[in-house]
Amino acid sequence: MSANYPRNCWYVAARSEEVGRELLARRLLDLPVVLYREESGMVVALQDRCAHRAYPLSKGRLDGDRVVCGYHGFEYDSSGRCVRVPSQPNVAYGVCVRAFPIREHPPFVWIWLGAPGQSGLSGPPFLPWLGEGWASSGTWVDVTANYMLVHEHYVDLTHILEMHRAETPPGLDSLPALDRISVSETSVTFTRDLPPAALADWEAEATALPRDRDYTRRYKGTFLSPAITVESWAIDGGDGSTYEQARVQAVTPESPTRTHLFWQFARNYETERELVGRYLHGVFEAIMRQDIAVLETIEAQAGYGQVVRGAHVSADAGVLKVRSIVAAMLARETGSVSPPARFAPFPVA
Amino acid sequence: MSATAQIQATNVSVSELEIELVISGREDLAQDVVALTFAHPDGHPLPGWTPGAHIDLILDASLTRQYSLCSSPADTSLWRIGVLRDPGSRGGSDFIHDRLHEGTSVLVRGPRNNFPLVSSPRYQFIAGGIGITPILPMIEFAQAAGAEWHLLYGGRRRDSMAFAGSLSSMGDQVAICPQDETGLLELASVLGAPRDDTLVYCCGPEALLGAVEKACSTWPSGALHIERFSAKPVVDEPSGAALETFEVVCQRSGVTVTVPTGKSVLDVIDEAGVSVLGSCYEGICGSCETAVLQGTPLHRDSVLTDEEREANDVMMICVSRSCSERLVLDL
Repeated sequence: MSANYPRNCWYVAARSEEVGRELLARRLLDLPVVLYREESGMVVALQDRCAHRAYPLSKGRLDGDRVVCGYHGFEYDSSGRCVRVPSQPNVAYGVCVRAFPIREHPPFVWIWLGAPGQSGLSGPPFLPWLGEGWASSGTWVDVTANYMLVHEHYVDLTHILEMHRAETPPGLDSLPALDRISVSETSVTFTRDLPPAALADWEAEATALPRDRDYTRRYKGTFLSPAITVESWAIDGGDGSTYEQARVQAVTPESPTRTHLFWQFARNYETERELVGRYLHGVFEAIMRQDIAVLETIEAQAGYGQVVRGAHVSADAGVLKVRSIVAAMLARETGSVSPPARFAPFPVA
Repeated sequence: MSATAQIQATNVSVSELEIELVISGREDLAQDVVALTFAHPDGHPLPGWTPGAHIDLILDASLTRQYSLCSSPADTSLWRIGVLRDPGSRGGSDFIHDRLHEGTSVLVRGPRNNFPLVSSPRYQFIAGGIGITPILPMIEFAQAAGAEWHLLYGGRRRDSMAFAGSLSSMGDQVAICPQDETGLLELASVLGAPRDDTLVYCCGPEALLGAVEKACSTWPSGALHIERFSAKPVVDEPSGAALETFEVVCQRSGVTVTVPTGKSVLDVIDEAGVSVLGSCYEGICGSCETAVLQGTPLHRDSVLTDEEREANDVMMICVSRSCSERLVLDL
């Protein structure tokens, strides 16, 4: 499978707590990257390959804000410029490794791996679920599957009846494919208003709402960019209160068949109660791991290329819109005018 | 079980993002040209877009108009458009000039992009009058990307040309050519010799677009990208090619309809309960672009390039019809 990810997009490189005064090696969009913090706390990302003999810089060490290669001791500053070659008094002109623009918005460290110079034309998306009025926790995991398998899985919720029956509100025997889909040039938002149903165990446990009545819920998801999809599940408490939880998933391609998933689970209620957060985190991390097992099986058995040629049903309307956005981004980057720069959807085989 | 919910999966409504925005600024840019700046009433960031994108202003129930974004995609706090008061206005530009002021709320739909800036080492931009608006963010992008670029910008008079002042300070890359000073644009000077390292982006009145299309006829296919303000003049169709009535199958929804004379594919499908996007209903905005899985459409839109038309894998269902008895659409 060839690369199907746009490069001109801000992706999450790491969680904030992963990056410190140790060198962190990570493959992102099939590029080797080394990440570390300067003494000031600023995150630096350099190409993880010494300009001399291609040894990974991540196997070397930090000296102040400089990276020292573990092979011949070449030293690089945080702009990627080679500033010292131990075997001679001067540095050969122009020796450097690529430095990647970084923006840190905890819990995420965002990186620009696209065309140099274009990083300033956009920024990482605005994520209110990780801001004021919300509490969240998260983790990260490597998935052996194409990144679009991950996005598309969360753009079509109709798998929950089959896969996550216990976490689905009892009595919901079918789900509307997607009530409403709203598209812009760069995003797709899908909304489902669910009919009244009793509380699932996790809902009762987390919200402490009485179990003797039915509740309506609004499920809303947004594909914000090829780097991130967010879904929220809002339970109407019936007295004007809303119990909302959001699953924020940053999806960063490692290679055409591997993906880094940075998973964050947020809630806007009981934000001070650590126990509620830990409980929800546990339930939904288990769900995430079940999801990943399915996606890895599909990748191993067929690959994303086969999935694209699969049959499409009504519930795939959101998936197809997401593909159209990614296809348009790819067409702009490759400079291709044929197939059309504008979207030609993937045909049904 | 108490609450058993059975809901038909075909009740899916697909629409474009609509947001109520507030006009945060209004400025006279040139004679008869006003710039409007929009912001979110709560200060939220606006959805992303890329150079060449446009938005719909939904002015009232029967008045929707498309305008190119001319601000910077990097600035998510505002969107900016430039609007020419058109003497032949069908109501849109008059409404905007007379009734939209700082503080007014406007329902905005989009953005969408039929004029995407494709990566290239060199660009030739050609703008006529208010057609300069989508070109501004393209120049910003080309500059940031380190691409070589040149702009040929024509208008009636210098004082009618929006942004002429700031553009003229950009040096030799920009040629500002008011008609009363330099006559009609000399297209041959920039398009005379086809180049395979250059993409041509042109926006402006129909006469300019037609002339540029002609001048680019010897250029590599796909080199020319144009955006129209209004529907393309109807070209001769081979007689008898369009069928009066034909069948349309919406593959994903499992709905089959017959399209009669005088009704569009979009109308008939919409009446049958399949939700589809549509905005201009004239074949210019691109919202209703639909994948064709089987059959040969008869294209009547102003969006698709000749190559895209020949591929017959997508169609604008608001105006285009069918050459085959049966069209299968990915809906």
